[in-house]
Amino acid sequence: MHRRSTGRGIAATSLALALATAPAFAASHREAPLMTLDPAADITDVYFFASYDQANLGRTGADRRVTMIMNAVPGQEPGSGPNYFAFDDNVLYEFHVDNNQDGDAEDVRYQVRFQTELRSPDQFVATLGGGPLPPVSHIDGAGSEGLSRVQRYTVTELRNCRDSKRGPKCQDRVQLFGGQLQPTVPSNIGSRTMPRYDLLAAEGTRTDPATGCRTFAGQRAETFAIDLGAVFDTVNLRVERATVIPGARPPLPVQTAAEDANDFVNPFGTNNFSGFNINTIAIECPVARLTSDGSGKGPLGLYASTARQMLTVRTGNPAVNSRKPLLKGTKDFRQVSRMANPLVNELIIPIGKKDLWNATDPADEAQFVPFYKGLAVAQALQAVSNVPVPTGDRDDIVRALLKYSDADPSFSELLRLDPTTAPTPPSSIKRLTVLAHDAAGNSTPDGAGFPNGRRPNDDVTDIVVRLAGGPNFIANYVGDGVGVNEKGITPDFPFLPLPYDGRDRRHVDPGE
Amino acid sequence: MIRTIAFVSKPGRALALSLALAGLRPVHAAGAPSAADRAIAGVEVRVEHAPAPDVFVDLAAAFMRKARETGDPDYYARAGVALDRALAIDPTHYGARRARAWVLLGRHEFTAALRAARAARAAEPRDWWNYGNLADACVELGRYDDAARATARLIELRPGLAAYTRVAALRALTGDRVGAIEALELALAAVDPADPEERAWILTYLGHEHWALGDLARARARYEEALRTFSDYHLALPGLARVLAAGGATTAAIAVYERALAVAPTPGVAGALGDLYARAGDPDRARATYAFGVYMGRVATARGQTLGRELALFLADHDRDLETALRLAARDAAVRRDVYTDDALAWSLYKSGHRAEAKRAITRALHLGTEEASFRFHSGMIAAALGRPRTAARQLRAALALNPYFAAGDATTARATLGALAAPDRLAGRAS
Amino acid sequence: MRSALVAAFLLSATVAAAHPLGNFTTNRLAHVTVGAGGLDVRYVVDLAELPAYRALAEMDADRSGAADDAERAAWAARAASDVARNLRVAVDGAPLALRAGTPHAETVPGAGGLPTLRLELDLAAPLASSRGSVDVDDGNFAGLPGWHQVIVTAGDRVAIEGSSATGVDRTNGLRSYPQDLLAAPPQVRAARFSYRPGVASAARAPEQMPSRSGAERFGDRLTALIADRRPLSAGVVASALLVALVLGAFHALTPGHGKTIVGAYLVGARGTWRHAVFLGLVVTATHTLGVYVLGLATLVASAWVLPDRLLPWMSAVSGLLVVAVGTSLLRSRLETAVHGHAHDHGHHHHHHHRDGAHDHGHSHAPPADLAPTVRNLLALGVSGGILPCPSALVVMLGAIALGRTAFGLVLILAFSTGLAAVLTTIGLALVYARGFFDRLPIDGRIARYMPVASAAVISLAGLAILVEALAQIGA
Repeated sequence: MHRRSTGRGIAATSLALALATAPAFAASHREAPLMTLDPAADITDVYFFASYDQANLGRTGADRRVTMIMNAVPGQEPGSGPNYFAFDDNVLYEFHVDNNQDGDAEDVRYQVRFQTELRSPDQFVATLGGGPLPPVSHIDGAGSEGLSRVQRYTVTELRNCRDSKRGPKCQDRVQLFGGQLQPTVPSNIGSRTMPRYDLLAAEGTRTDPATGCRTFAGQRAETFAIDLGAVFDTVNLRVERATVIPGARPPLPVQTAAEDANDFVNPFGTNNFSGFNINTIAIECPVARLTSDGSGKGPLGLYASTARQMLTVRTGNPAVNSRKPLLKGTKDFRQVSRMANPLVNELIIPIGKKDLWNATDPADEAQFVPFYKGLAVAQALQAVSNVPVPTGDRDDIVRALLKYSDADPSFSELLRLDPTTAPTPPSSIKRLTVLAHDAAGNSTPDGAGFPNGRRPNDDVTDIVVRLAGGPNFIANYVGDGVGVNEKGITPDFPFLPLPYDGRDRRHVDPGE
Repeated sequence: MIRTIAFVSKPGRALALSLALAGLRPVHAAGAPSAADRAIAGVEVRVEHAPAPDVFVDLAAAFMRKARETGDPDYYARAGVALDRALAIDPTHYGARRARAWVLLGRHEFTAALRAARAARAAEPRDWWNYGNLADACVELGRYDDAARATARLIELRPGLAAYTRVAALRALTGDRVGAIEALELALAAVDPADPEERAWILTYLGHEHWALGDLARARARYEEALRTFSDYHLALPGLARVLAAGGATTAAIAVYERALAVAPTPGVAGALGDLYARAGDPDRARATYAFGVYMGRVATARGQTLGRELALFLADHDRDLETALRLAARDAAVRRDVYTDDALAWSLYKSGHRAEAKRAITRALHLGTEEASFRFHSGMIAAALGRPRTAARQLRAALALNPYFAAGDATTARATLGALAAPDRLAGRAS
Repeated sequence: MRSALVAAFLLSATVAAAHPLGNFTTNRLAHVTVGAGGLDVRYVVDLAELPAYRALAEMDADRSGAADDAERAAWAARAASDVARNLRVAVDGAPLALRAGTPHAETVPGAGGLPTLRLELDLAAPLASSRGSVDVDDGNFAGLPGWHQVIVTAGDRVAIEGSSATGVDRTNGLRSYPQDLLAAPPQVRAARFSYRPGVASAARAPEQMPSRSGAERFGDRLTALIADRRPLSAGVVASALLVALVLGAFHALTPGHGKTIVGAYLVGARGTWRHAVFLGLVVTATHTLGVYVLGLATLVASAWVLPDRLLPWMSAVSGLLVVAVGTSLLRSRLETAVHGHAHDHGHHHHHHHRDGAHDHGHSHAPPADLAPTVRNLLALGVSGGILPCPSALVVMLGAIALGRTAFGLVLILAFSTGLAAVLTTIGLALVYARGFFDRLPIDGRIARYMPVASAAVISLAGLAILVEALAQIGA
């Protein structure tokens, strides 16, 4: 008689059959894609939370600071010379805030544009410091001669905006820093080129006294932790060292209460993101600026977007040849990527719709609601593990991700934050937020994290898997076994750790 | 059954990261397995495991990448077979159907590619990827209005690298090389730093644009950077060689041409190298290299393939086997009425003595206003042969003004002809 | 007539095929062999038509238009020294100086008879130590498109371990390339391996997929038949059926499917060849039906229950059945053996007595209740076939998924037939072997207890099945 291995073969076949009738995301993540990526316009994470640095822990009300972060330019293997990683001058990076709970996040916007100064246009290596030129000791001005390329940015705050066909029309416009260009923090190349990268990085935090806002743009380390292979291989969560749920085949990876409560060690699974860097844009402002009445009360909704400019397809050099242009075009910006809640595009929106989803406004999410209700990923979890998930339409997911309240009539995919929730001090932050518990299994929720906004160290993979899977999954602490990254929680703005350096990087898990 | 599209268009961090994990590096070193090699190896494992249509489409994509990296047309055939397999399993598979146009473009079956791209667009009108193939097919066939419309739709749906390169192509064709450079610079800023071949491609085409405008220094910088990014990149080697030759670095130019001839032998390269040997005072090697160019035609014929207008131009340029040149150019022109084919046809006709028809063809080639020195040169020579000295002089001057180095032998001829044209004018006391 | 044939043959020989890889490929192979005598490299370079042309032009130093033997040898010598210089072999980190033998260059007709060029070179070096680790790095023709491969094999009295390169030469020294266009030419320029004294073990590179063994392999071959991409012509179907038949036969030889039970029963019950055949047929039918039913049930229930949860239950049922049959047989045969005849037998005894004389003591006629009645045979046959092979089940489901249901059903039938054929053969063999045993002067007591033993075996087998199934259910 044949045993488990061929049993799994049958499981795989029936799984394939089961999934064939439901939209399923691709497991094709290991080979090169058919078309090129657009990393500079690719938003990978959005965070939205009340700042938890020491100073802000003491602030209340409208004075409390709230931080918005978007990460882009993924796939940053630290040692990837010679060009390293930069933002794209031709991309419009933007935060959109909804402060009147109508689901339309155009009430306050922060637009970030970059400009690159090429100091040695024919020298295509990103830096010269540490070689013929002195090592880099400042990110701009004197001491930065070693950087052959310096990228700077402006931040514009727009309020009272109205959407029109040609883009938003806004009544109030404030240039942070008086419109002055701020320097970004370059990639961490290594100790010879940048002997004190920590000091360089500190220079990247810019404060604008006029608005009370702080900004940062540059490279940081990834805090997102996930066992990619396990999750994206059709939720083939790793089971080798995990405890087994009796009767569930293949066994579901569960953790003991104690393992799950331990926010410092990954019990099993491999963090594929360990050791990678990311580019970060962070803006922290007093919440009074974000709210409609300056009161600091929410809830607030946020999404981040990137947009690229369209080009005219014209005929002839307009300066030389005044032949009628073949086609009229515009130079308007077209949105190419957006993100609010984590893992929506990866796990809820099916493959054929991802481009469309990326180009639409979150307020128009009603067209995608069937995918939230059907929640294919929950079906996949059940098919793989045979542990039942909640049946019927997943209105709970719709409510959690797309609405402010039960009475909210609209569907808008925004990251929602209640700014009146006090931030949890870094030492007490729980990665499982509302699902957090102690080693004995008693609930000890940390309400200042996802889905109440999102902090950089919230373990959204586990939370999403458990919320999707329902009570059985929550009770059994199911997850990918990867909850934390080795750099831990960063208690100061911009709340993401220093990047790995290009020379000495190694991909390692906490507890390794 | 949900139609699955094999390639994820917004792959997000997960995919990008997996590529990084897979070891994509920003620079490709000679001899090392390239990104395409790794992609092929990875997909072939999946084919063994679970031969599904999606996997075969990914395999086709990997082969197409390899074809781009090496210039080896065999890989287009392989990609075609992989797509056939995917469609054999599932004839309605959208991913395979839309990739078909791409593969056909590689094999130079432009009419079929246009049909395939249209069919894919009909199936998914909002899929921006199809508009790229549509634009490419239309450009190759000479249907420039259609190409412009497709490109406009493309950039409307998804501005980005794919759109920028097509805009650049159209701008270059329609007399706006400066605008083409602008678009290509946008593309360069948008390229994934971990994709060396794509980056090298954009850099190479930037090099072509600068060369066409006679800017040797910038052209050289771009070609050299392309070769630093992707070692022995077959599109960049001939570009660098001609820049070096134009700058007088003959020995270096010869070395680079020889390398180009080893990596991806084409008649154009053989002709250029032969010319260089001739100018450098080595007629034996020049002869041998020309013979190699002719031989390429023989091998292609023996394999049932055709080298088309590139061979025609080579033969016409060097006054060899003009019958074949004319036949090849005419055959190409029957299918594709794009300006480069018209130009090759015009030159072949002229060299074969059919001057009136040559004039008609070169007029067509010039109708878009493309800033191509060789078009002007051909036009000037044809005009001179037809007894139109003023037109001839104007065209030849325009050629030299665009790019004084354009094809060293031709430039010399242009100057000589200009001189000859000017002389009778002076003698006759008329201003030219 | 003959000369015409010869001419035709010669003509066909010169109409050569184009180089199978692209016409500007430079293909090279470094075949490394480590034997007791040292390390050898057989280096082959295969230039397609275009690079061959240039090489031949280079060869023709005096521009005579063709390369004569001296020029060819000179070129080969130069090429060989280039090759040797760029081929780096290091043993335990120390570079190994390879001595090159005499190179050999020849032209081979390619497309339209145009020449391709082939260079072969042997390099060798003695090895100082009988074990070590080797790094091979071939820098020749870097950046040129083509087939690039390093192969590592073990010579005599040496074993190769941990080789990063394959030990299989698919091209026979670059003489013939695989036809499959989907298998891209390898781009392997380096290899690393270790060697030690010993018998040549598998020098293959570790396969990327876990190696399959035994029945799993057959299951996969069966699946491969379903997934075969070719259109289902009569020839394809016929050959696939044949293969399925053979696979079923092999499968019968693997553990399970009631061979023990069948054999034990036939031995104990004095079955005839008809019984053996009938038993085989019952097993086949049960097995086939079992796969069909389970396959359909799987499809229907696929939303809720995974079929491999069903398997242990079916196993358990089968085990129970077998135990039941076995214990009932055991009970009655024990009675017979102990008491000389069962009570039932006593009844029949009188009837038989009327018909003719017989010798009870030596009679080997089966007790009536043990007789291979249809009922007993059915029971046993069903129990033997009730547990479908998972691999057959996968084929069933796969066939449905691929839309080749009818083909799949037929394949299963063929598979089951092969299974049955072997079982029947075993049964027949035992039947006739039993006849042989009959003639042996076996002690009567052993003869009397043999049926008991066989029933015990049946029971134990059933018990084993039951226990295992319960373990799987419980796990």
